[in-house]
Amino acid sequence: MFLSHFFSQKPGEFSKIVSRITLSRNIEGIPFPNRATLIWVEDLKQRMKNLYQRFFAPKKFRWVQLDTIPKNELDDFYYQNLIPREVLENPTNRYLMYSGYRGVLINYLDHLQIFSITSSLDLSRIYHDANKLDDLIEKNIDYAYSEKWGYLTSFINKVGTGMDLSVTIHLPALSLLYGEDRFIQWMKDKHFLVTNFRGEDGIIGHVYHFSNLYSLGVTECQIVNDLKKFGSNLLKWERQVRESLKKNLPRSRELEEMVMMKGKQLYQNDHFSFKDIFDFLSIWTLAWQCGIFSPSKGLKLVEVKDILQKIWENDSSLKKECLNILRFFRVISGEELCDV
Amino acid sequence: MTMKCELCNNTASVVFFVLDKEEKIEKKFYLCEVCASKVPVSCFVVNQIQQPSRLKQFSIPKQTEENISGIFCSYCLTSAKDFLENGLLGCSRCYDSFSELIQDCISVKQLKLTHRGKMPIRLFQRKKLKKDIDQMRQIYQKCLEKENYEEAYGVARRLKRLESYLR
Repeated sequence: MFLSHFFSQKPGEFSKIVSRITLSRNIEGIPFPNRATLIWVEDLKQRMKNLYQRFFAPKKFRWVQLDTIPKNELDDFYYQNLIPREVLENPTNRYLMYSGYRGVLINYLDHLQIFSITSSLDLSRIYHDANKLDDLIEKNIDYAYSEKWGYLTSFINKVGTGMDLSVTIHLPALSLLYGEDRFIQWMKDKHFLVTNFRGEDGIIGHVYHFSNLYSLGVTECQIVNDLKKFGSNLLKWERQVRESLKKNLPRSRELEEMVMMKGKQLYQNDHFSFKDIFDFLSIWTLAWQCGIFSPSKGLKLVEVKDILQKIWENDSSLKKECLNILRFFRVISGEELCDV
Repeated sequence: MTMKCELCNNTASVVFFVLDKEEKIEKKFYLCEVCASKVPVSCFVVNQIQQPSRLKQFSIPKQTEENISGIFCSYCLTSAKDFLENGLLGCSRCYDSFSELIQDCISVKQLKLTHRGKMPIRLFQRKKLKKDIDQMRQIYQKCLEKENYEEAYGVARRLKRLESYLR
């Protein structure tokens, strides 16, 4: 079943782009989550639950108490980008109110994290989605706000607009051309915060997660426009590099050999890092997307399957991470995950 | 019988009661006045991060940095030292309590020091109201200067009504 669903995309397609917006808000008079005692948390929960019943439930939003749901459901929330890794690891006293890919995460770093996600670069749309939810809550609850600092957040690096706009994008061709370190430095010079898809330093699998560095002294529209422009340029350049890679036969060969070599190294070695695995999956996907590597030649699908199964063995979380990144690369589509 | 402070062993004069909701136990902690003023209240309350049992592990640093010692938020009791250590503020009032420290940190991390983005509707309306009142006051002054008392009376009435909305 696993094999038959591999390569659900056609060559020439691009990996998925995930854009996410988070508006951090706190309620006036209640200590922030890191200082809030159970009484305050209960107060916060009640206020939000009341709001949910009055305004959100009729709009088909769902209320979830994250520490009461089964682990696999929590995992799904994480893989759908609805909750961050820290909440997956510690869901106690945290709540989620969501409908589709927008909603509010309650009692994490700030009282409310209003979010919206899309699998495109349509940043204006997700901003308007989140803004609508924000306006609705704001009409009924007083936010912690100061005229000087803007929306007050527990971490000062989000004070002001309270906005965290991020784009997760797979850029293997640009990474191979310029080198990861130089590429990261260039992004940082453009005043963006760059992490890997797990939110940590160091890029894995050529997947870049870049977000706005500043939230004070800039307007929401400025942040959206800057990131949109930057993301579109990156996509355009990645496409150009891929085109030249396809047309240049020696380069194509080089890439194909690199895929086979990395695959064999993984198959033969017993010790490999996360980065080794994901970097292999990344260039394997690039070769497939460029039409350079096909299942009928070079590294056989059965071998790839053997490599992957050897990597994850009994580690179900690693298997999920690998499958999730393959789904992000559009090598397998989301639905097939349950069959694996 | 005199009780000893659980932190420094001096004579205790302050008693804290800790209610553990889950275990349904009431615990007593004896502290002297000096320690009681330094230990954060959060240590006595069962919350999602700290457990009351951690009180015994709490140690008061002998030499805190002079410039930030004694600065803490009177609402959530977050100290300036806590803020500098983990970068987290405890409540919205911390922004007033540590305004100078925050200003220093923000000037490094942020582009500018003043908010330019969205503001809550209630504040936006208030700001607009203040602007209207200022304009109305200028009109009132002009009317008085021109000795147009009839119009000034009407403006004063409108001004009074607008000012009442601000309260």
